[in-house]
Amino acid sequence: MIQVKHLRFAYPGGVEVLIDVSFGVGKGESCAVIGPSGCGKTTLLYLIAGLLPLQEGNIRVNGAAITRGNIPMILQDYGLFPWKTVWENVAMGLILKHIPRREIEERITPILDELGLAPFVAFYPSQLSGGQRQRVAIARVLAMNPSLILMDEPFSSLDAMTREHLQRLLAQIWIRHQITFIIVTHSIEEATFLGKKIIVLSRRPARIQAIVDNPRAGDPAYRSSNAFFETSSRLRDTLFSISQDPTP
Amino acid sequence: MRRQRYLTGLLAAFILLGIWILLSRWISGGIIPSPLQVARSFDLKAFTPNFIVSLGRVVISLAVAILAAVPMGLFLGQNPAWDKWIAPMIFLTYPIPKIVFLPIFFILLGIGNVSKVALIALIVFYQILVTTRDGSRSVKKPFIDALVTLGGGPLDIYRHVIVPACLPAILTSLRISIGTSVAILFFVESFATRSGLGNLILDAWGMADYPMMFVGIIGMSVLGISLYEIVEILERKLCKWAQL
Ligand SMILES: Nc1ncnc2c1ncn2[C@@H]1O[C@H](COP(=O)(O)OP(=O)(O)OP(=O)(O)O)[C@@H](O)[C@H]1O
Ligand SMILES: [Mg+2]
Repeated sequence: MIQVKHLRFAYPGGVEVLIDVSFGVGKGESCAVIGPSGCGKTTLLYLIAGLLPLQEGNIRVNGAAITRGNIPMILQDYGLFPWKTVWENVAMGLILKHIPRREIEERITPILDELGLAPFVAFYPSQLSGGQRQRVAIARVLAMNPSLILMDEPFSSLDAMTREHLQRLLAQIWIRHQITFIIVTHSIEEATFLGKKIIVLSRRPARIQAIVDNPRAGDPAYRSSNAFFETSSRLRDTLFSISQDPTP
Repeated sequence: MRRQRYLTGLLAAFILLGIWILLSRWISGGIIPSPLQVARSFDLKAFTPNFIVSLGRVVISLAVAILAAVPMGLFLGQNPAWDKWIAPMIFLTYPIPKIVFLPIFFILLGIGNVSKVALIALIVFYQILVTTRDGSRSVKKPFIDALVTLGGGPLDIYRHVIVPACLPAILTSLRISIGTSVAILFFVESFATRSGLGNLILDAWGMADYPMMFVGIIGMSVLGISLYEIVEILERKLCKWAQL
């Protein structure tokens, strides 16, 4: 589905952010990216979304080079437009494609229902709770009927209960819609629950520290199993060893 | 909420009317006529053409200023490379009281409506430009990124992100501009014209017809308040999200 090869990136001014990052995610697979704060996770997603120009290496989605505007992304903050209603936010991608309003209505109504947003279509984002807002952000990318979705710490500002609830919801969507996910997270539990493949990045400049296979990701029963606990601890150890490394 | 606003507005109008009546009693010489005297000298046939001329001058000036300043401000806020060159020019000319250029405008553009409108528009242009540019500059980058990931192009970015994000600031600057433009209107209408409320006021003053002078003053106030109200209504309609 997506192949990332030998990615290297530095911001103008010389901050090296990524060094030789390579990985692949299969169709319908979910991939969690975890790493120390400021290591370059957002930068990696921006490169995949085409929001930053590639410098070295290449990214292919279904064998083709990426083009901006084709891979929807849920941004870390400021994702929703405060001046648009829930309906307009969710419909935005389709409005930009000049799809007739009636067709937009047909396409997004089931998504709004699935995410429990139907009663809030006329609300503005500031009138919603944090969890509802993130559901709107998810609905907005689903409306584009994408095969790949990028998410940058979508649940980091939510309380634990809402967070777990949305993680389950996301796992259901992922299984039901057969969408490939790349989700960046700070949370070890989130990575373990949502990532069939977990990519651990090192401190900046980020290299791939480890790629962990995690076949049971997305299964609600997995969360309370021993295997879940073991994978989490392994991840924790890996991350801990990174933060103990003296800076190169 | 809105009902309450009208009620307090009505109350304020009554209080102001009371103060006016008291002042008209206290200040001798008839310089401040009573509301009744003013109402008696109100002549719709004489008043309406002057009111319409003044309204036209202000509205056209504001329209010209908005059409020039808003697109320019939106663009400069998003394009620092251009702003770097334009900003110093604005910065240097902004504090100049442009009203001193009135004679030059009269000489260059004639003494008709064009020079009057041009001067009002120029002064208001600055206020709107600076506010719009600052608004456009402070639009958070991730909003633009979000639109781009949804397939938005450069024009879509203006239409769906920059313009709506800046609209509250633009309307606020427009509100301030209404006050400014009515004040300048009075000034430009005191020269070389036989029409407009400013002219009416000065004429009446010359003839010591204080009730008539007050008709003009009230006309100017009504002009300002109506335009202000229109912007309020626009703001409620277009920027609901910013008022939650
Ligand atoms: N536009 C930019 N110009 C220069 N440096 C930048 C820019 N954006 C980010 N950086 C730097 O690049 C590094 C990686 O940033 P990035 O946002 O990708 O990290 P992150 O892993 O997403 O961090 P966080 O966990 O805090 O979200 C940071 O050290 C940051 O300071
Ligand atoms: Mg980040």
